[in-house]
Amino acid sequence: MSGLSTLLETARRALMAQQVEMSVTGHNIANASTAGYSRQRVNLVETPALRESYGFLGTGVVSDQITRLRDSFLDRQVWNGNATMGDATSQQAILSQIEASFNEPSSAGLSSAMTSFFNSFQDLALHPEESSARNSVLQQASLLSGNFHRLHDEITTLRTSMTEDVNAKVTQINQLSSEISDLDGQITSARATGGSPSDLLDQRDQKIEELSSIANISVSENQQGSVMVSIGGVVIASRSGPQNLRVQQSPAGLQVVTEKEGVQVALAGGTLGGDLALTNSTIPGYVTRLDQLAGALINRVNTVHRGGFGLGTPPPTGQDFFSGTGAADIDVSAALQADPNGVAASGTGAPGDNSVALAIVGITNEPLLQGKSLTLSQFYNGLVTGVGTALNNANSTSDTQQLIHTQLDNQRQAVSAVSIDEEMTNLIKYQRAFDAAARLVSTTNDMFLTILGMKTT
Amino acid sequence: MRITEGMMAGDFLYTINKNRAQINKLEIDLASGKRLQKVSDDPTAADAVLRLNAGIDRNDQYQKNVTDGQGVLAQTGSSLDDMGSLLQEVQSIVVQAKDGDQTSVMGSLAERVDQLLNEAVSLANSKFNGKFIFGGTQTTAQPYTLVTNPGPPATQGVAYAGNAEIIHYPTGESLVQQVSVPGSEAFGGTALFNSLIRVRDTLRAGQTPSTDDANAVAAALDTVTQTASKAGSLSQSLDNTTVHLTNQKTQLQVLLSAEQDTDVAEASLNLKQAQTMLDAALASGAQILPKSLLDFLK
Repeated sequence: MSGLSTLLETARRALMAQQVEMSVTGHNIANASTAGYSRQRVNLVETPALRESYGFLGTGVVSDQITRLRDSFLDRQVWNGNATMGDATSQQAILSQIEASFNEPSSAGLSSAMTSFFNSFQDLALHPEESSARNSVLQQASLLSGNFHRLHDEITTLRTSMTEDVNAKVTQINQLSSEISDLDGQITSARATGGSPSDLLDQRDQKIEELSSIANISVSENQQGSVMVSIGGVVIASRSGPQNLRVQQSPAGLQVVTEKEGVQVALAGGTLGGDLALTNSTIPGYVTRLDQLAGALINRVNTVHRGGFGLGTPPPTGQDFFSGTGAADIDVSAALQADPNGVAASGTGAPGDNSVALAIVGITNEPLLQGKSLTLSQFYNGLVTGVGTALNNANSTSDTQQLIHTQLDNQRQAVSAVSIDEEMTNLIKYQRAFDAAARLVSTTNDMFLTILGMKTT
Repeated sequence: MRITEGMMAGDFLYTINKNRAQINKLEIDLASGKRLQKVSDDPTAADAVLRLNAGIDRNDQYQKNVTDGQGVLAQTGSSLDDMGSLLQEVQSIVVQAKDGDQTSVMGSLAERVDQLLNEAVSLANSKFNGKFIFGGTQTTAQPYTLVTNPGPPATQGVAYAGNAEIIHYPTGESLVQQVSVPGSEAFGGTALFNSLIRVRDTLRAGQTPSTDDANAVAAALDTVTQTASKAGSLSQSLDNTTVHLTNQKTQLQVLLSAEQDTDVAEASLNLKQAQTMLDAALASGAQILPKSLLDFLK
């Protein structure tokens, strides 16, 4: 049996519901620029109707649940893209430093130092009987050696500094995985009591997203809404808590392993994955090739030089030109530094003979490297353009990923982001509804008064 | 699709950033005149640039080598020409000695030949740039010296301290060219000087030089003339090399420019376009971004 009280109750429910709507709208507006925030909506449902003789009589409204608007499929795509993007970003950062170290094409690079070195031997071939030509050969040789040292130092220092970077990133992963586990616990207990803790979900997604640029993560969610985050098959965050990671040195380079069992984590993306690939294989590869180049130069020049004669009576012979074995320690041999006249130009001992100087000049055209298929400069150019190509690829991967990310993010924002226009419109709508509900209360009140004011005579 | 403020701001920033990056690159290209700043800008072109730069550096060196070689050969040629005229004078003295038969004349002729012999030795010890040019690869020791062989009877001779080696200069990729003629070839070792000594000694003894002596001088002249013409042709081929190297350098520079230089017209045009686009984006952004429903609610 409906009555005025029921009507008042309906009005009360409407007022309550509109207030909830207003609160949620306020929350949305407040978080319009919060990273990772998904706009929320109140699901309003009708309260059960009363069965009356004339039909079902509605009793108003109640707010059922506050939910967030989010497309988790888009999230996954963004997370996958982030791993590729992170990898490219880390490559861009490191390779551009290596590229800068090579400093090519320029007149200050190793390429030009190598040409000048061999040209100085041509000068020696013109004046094989002179000491001054030898001094300039030694000068060019030490410039060339210096160039090798500088490159080697800069690249290996860069690699060392990356170790700190890797450690910092692993610490960050540990931090994030513990936060994710924390949030996950709160979410599952909130879920157990019924309801969807939107803000916690947003925060958890945000943390996972941060993690996704550092490593190639995979995320699975169970029916209770708990997530399991793993990297290369190793679970790092789940309902049972976080699994911390640490960095260890191994013969193969830096490895990321689980703190307790020491299980290796296979990283294949993200900034950390990129860093590891660079420090474990790319950079050592460059250093090896630089060493091969220096080694081939040292060996070949020494072999030819030993067969020649310098200036003096008797002319010195059988001496090495370079000392050292690689890019780090190549240098003009101590004997030649002490006596530049030991530099051999002559093949016979006659001071005017330049056949050994010519033979050393000829080394420029000898295929010495890569299974005797490349000359020194071809090999070096290959190394430099290899760095350039890798960086170029990283740049275009990064550009592409950036574009994809922007598009995905737009799609995601289309679903989840707060639109001020929309919230304002809603606010007006809810305000009107509230006004109307309030009017209903006052009207019902009037009706009460009308009834109470009736007098029986 | 729902469009939110955040999306508009994000898209706006993304476009502006891309646009600014493009303008930045174009400005650097134009300011430096080079489109290739780093290897990663265009690895293939960078490879070519490295190769071409090294090629140009080596080309410069070859040209320098050729110039040096031409200097040596010019000196060689002029010394040999002088030696030729000297021998011709000896020949005319021999003829004179045959025609005349006064012993007094013989004496003065012998003195002239002696002078010429000394001149010939000093010609054979010609230097270029501080180096003896007729000593083969023994460029620091004087190649020819007059010596007295202790008798009896004491005879005069000439010693050759040089060798028969030839000096080559690098003048191109895997290419070397001869720039010297050793005394062993130009003067038949010591043959030229010995023939002069014999003529002089014969004249000193008041005798007419024999046909053999005359033939020996003629043979020496022949060798000198032939060597001079060889030096000439060696110099000629260095000239050809210079022409070749100069052409090659021009070609290398054209190729280098094609690989690394900015096409100024194209870059300026692109820059203008990018600037116009940036202006348009900024202008429209400034108009549209601040607008919201709030502007119209009272």
